[in-house]
Amino acid sequence: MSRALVLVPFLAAALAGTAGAQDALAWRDSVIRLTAEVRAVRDSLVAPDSTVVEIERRNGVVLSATPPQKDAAARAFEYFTEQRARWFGAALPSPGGFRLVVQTTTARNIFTRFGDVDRWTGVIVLTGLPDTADSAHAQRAAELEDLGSQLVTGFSELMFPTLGVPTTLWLGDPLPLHMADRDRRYLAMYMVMTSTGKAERGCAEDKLELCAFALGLRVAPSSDLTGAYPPLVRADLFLTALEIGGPEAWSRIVAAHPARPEAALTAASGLTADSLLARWKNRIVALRPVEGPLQPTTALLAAGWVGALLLGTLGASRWR
Amino acid sequence: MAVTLRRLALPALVLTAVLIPVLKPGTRPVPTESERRLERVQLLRQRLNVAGVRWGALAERDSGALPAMVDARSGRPGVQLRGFGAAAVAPEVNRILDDLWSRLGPVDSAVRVALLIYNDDPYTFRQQVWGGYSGASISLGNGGATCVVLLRGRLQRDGRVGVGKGRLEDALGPCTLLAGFGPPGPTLERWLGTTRYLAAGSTAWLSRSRSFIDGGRGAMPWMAIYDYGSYDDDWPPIQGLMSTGSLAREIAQLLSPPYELGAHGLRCTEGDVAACRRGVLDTTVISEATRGLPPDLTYAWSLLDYPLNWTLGTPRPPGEWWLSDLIRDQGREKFARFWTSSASFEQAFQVAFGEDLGAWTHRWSVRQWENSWFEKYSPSPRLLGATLKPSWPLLALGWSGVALMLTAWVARRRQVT
Repeated sequence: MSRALVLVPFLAAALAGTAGAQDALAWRDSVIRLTAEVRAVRDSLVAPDSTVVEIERRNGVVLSATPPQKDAAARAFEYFTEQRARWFGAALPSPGGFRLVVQTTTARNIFTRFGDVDRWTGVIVLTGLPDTADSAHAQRAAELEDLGSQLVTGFSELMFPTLGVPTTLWLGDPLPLHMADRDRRYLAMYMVMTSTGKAERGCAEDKLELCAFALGLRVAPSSDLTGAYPPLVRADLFLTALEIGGPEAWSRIVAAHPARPEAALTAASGLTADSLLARWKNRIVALRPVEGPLQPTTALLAAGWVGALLLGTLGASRWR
Repeated sequence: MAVTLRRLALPALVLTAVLIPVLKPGTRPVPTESERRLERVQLLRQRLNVAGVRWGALAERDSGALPAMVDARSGRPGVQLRGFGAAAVAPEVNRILDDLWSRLGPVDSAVRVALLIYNDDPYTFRQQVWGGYSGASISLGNGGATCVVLLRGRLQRDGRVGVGKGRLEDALGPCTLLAGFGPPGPTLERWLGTTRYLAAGSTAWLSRSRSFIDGGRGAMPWMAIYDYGSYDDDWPPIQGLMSTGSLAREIAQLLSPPYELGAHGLRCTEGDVAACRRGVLDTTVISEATRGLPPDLTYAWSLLDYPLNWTLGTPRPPGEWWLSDLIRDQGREKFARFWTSSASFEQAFQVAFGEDLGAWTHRWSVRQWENSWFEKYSPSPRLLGATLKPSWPLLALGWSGVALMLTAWVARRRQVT
């Protein structure tokens, strides 16, 4: 088939599709119009609230809030500053700075939300300097009680793309920084030690090359292997690498432009991939529970209480 | 006094349980201006996303697919990079193509394939666009086919163009089927065209064993899309309980059957083969959600026009790996007979595989559902409509008898005051 003939069906389809069909320019115009609309409504969410005032400024980050949220924002800022230093060091989401706008809510506890809806009560703005037109920005909603965790999560999502495509694709989901370290590690331990795939079982039995495969870091050592750990386990390994590498670990990953996730882990931790895997694995294994869930004392206590309640019930009966 | 209270307590509890589902919604607080604006932003962003994806898809189809088509060839397709600069390379994509085409084996020489990776930054207009368009433009005619895969990519700092492996393989799905089996027969051509090749969106048949469960992270067998407002207060199956507030709604949703499968998907998974057939053959959902788009563009979820306004009775199409699973289960030879048949869809299926379309799809649906994330982590009964089994009234009567006898025995004794 000559090249000209190849085009005939395509052109026919293209022409048929164009008759009365949508075209790119119309959608481009929609995008421009909708973008302007989104921007206008979004700006109006903050702009009319002239009560938003600056509360604190530290290490190139400015915190502003509506007055009723002032104290909660200040407390959350402490937590954010500490967590940011721990995981991200001095790294920024973009050279142009960043802006994180949080709409604060109330009425989220189980009793007050019954038959009610969430209420938007105020605005908290976290601005990383320089706050230019090119800064990365995000908008979130958070309960006041959970504000610190939400600031960290929002900042983490802004930082996530700076890791580069290979690492972000490997991690899959943004980092679970909303979880307490202990909860995340125990969940990762549970996932590692109870997964049933061939590779995962091998990893649990201390074969590091199978751990590397199940974690998506290397190709399978043999073709009959199955199994892959979920994103949380990969995230736990990644956060372990950041912890080992210290506050500047994130910046080292960004500077290294890693082509593979393994290179990102090496850059972050300063260890070889195998050493890092071994240390991570040891930490996971150390978290395994050493005792069974039912101890003899607990069983005896439960049996004792059952007996006591039974006797008490029989003795208290007014029936004969 | 205490006895009276105790006597009243039980009827009161029963009455409360009966009344809960019929309670009327309480008066909700009037949304504040800020709330209304936030909802407006959410809605606008959803529309903006659809507009951005369609802009990119149509622009690349109009300006990029044509030159790519000229270079399309039979056999392993070449890769064209658009919008990344002259120095950009995509070695990983080439490796995947090599692998897939080596597994494909001999291909139909009348089918030409090209792969165009485009930069979708210009279409995002400084807004975050989720998904982008990754699909293909397919034209059939003159006994052949031309398939141009349009795939969005990202330029990495090392000069390589990165694409998601899964997204690449899904977008290549229709082209690998065309290359491997040639242009489809008229029946399949019509079905594939009206569903935009939705069920052809997997290449797992080339590389995975028969036992492999496809569909990403434990996806449902039938398409379940959660669009804006799908969990609104008007969700029909549990409307009564909705009125008691969001907590009751969440509990009801957790306990309720997986209505996201739709009535046909639920019935199919329960063994109603007619519902299975209807689910596969119904083409209205995709054609309506992509109305106005050129017919040669294949399905991508991000192309769908929101809100979808699906109801419980709307038949959901099968998952994008339906054809791939069919090949893995039945083998390439039988599938080739089905693919090129000119008989009706159901007849072609029966002749090629020796099995009814509904029966096979039922088995597929059950296997997929039982391995889905939903069944693993939130198992719920697959029920629809009245499902009172004969054993239940008997059981209820039996227990009632036991309770009655126990009460009578207790009441025979004398109370000591």
